[in-house]
Amino acid sequence: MMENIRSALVCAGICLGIFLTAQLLRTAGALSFLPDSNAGEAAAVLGNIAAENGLSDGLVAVFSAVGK
Amino acid sequence: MMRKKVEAAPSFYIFWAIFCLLDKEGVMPLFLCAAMIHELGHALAIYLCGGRLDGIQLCITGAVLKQGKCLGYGAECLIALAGPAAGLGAAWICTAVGFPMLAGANLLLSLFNSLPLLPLDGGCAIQSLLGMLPSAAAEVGRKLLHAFSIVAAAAWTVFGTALLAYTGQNATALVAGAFLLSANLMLLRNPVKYGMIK
Repeated sequence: MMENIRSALVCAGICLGIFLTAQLLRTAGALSFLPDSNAGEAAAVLGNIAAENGLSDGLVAVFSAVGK
Repeated sequence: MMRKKVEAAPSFYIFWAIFCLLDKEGVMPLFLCAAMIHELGHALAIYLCGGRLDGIQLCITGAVLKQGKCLGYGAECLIALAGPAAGLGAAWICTAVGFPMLAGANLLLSLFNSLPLLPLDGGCAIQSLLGMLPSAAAEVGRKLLHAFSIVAAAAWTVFGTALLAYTGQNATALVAGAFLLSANLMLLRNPVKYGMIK
């Protein structure tokens, strides 16, 4: 059990370190040459549609928009 | 008896680093939270179906849950679908309590994982259902599913490359396509190693 917790914490620590390093590099402008991911924008759009119209209506709206 | 363990392959950290480097809005922790809900859905389904979770392996294909014993095809199909179902449930709750970003992350992850492609959950569910057919038909079905998954992943990668070249901004489709393609190439080399169901 302790080994599980230790390996999960090590993994979480490395992931957090990678994330913080990437954010630091981005803030410093060192990653300006990289293209941006729009995953956050897509999540925001989907989440707002679901929040405004309800989850089922939101999904219908998304698939309708894709179909057009 | 195998000990329960969390193992992370170097490819997982590369996969994570690529998404972190492309993440302008700092939303990766939200997606990590959504991924944990997704995997908890699978784990809960394994226990409810009478299975045993021996460990979690994190690799380029995401998290692979190692089951202690083989369950029936129906149970394996339910376990595969439990992840996206948990994500949709979490999205519904997040919408109700006013966390639209987390709801969106859960929705995106659930919809992506529901695609009928290996090694995504939708593909794993279809593969489990194919096991219920007579062995010759199941074998043909599996080959078709593998071929469809590779062709779709390749098409997705080409589409992602074209989108990135056209917009100069949107790299998500290319990364997702490359992830699917590499996962499928590994699947071809070792069919039993990848995919959630063991």
